[in-house]
Amino acid sequence: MHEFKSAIKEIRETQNKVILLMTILKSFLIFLVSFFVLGLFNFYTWGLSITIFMIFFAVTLHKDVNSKTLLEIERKNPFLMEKLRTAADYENVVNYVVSRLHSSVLNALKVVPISSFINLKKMTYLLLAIVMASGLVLFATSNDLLVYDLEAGLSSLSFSTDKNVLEGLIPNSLLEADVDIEEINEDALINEMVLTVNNNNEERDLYLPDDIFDQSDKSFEELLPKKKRIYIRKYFGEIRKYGLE
Amino acid sequence: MIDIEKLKGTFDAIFKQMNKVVVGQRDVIEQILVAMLCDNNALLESYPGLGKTLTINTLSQVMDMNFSRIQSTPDLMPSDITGTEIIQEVGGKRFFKFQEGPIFSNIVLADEINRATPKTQSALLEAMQEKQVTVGSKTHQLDRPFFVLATQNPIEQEGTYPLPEAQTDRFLLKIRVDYPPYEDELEIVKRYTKSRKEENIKKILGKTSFLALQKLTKQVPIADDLASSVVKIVAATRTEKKHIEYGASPRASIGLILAAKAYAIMNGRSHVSVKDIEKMAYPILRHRIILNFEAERQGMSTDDVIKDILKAHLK
Repeated sequence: MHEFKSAIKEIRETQNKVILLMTILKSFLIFLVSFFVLGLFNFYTWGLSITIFMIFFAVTLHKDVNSKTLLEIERKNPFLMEKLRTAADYENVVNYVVSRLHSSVLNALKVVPISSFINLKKMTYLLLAIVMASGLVLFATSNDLLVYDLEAGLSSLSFSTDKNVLEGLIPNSLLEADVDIEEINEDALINEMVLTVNNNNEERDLYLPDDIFDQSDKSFEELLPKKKRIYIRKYFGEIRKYGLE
Repeated sequence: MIDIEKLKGTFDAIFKQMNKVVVGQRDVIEQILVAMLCDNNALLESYPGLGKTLTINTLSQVMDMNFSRIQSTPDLMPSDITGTEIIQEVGGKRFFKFQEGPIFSNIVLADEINRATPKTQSALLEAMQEKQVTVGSKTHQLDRPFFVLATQNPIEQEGTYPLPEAQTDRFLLKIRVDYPPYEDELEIVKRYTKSRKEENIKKILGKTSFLALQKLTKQVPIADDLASSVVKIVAATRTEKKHIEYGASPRASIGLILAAKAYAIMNGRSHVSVKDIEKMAYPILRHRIILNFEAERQGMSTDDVIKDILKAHLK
């Protein structure tokens, strides 16, 4: 009985290895296909492809390992049909008939080739599909194929509100402050800077003092009172907005 | 120890000996042997003149077992089956002695059981179930192996007491005997219309060996997925309302698995196969299913309905 248990354990381990290999191949194919499709739309290509790969790998591996049966081996070795499954189901039962079955299956297993564990046809098709998908990805990336730039499209959509643009750049307290651009323009301190704001980037670069771009957000907060800081934040927000447009 | 693979040869030898007397009927003999291996009983439905008594008598000779036949009639009393206490005088002293009835045999043929009264039927069925009979205050154990083959005539229902469904459920199998094919009938005619010497039947299995085989039958393993299929098949007889009025009980699931095991042993296999289940499903289920009006209207038999269920649930 111990010998039979070891044989069944070995069969199950081999099956698990084959399942792991097949799952890796399938997941890699899924990764390539999603990379290709997402790349065509320039939509978080790497991040999403890797996420899809990982989710598919985990789900498929779990499902395949839990649903594995000995039926595949039996189909490839008809002399084991029903015998192997029955013997495996009764691996812990000891009686005369079961012992006879175990020894008969053990003898039969000696002539079972390792290829019985692998679905060679399926694996060949999978490898072919991977080669084709890799070719597609190479072709798409080398020729910069792009159907629609989803990432750019999404960012232009989100730029329509000032608040969204400034989100993450400055503290929320500043964004929530209720200050009009007219108030900023009327502010004497800022007027002293005599800055002319244009849509033209070159002009903006000319008139703005260089050290403004060197200053960190922190330094502004340290030097000026809160109200001034709000004005300046709003002001540069506007500059950035027009500049980008 | 018994070599399971060689058991097929043993049963083939039994069939060979049976064929010396009985022409054809391989399926019937197989099913009777299955019921015996399962330590259970069978109900045989056949028209008169198909060699039921001859078959069972020959089988008892091949297996070196006692055989008795009870011809059921409406005036048959339970004591006619079980036996009774009689007064016996030995040396001037009188005492009661139990006179065993025909039930005290290894193989009992209860011919036309539906002609006996329900009271007598119950006495027989109780003996079948308990493997013992109680007469007066004494309980008497029946010989082992013990097997009852009850027969029913599907025609001439006047003056009969058909077995209720609950009673028929106690029989493991319902064996259907059809008329023999042309070739077999010709052989029967030739064989039994000439002067012939009595065939020398060789004993193949003894009681002890047969009891060992009964124990072995229960040890035969069945794969989990096959056992699950059996339960699904039996459950389907309860859920398939299109053609079935009443389905089979879990006793049918037990019976089907056990019968499949016995059939596997007979074929020298140490495991149950799909074929065993397919083969045994018909005799196990046909007396446990009551068809509805729709099935009758379509002219369907229970075997047709079982075939459909097997097709749907046995892979």
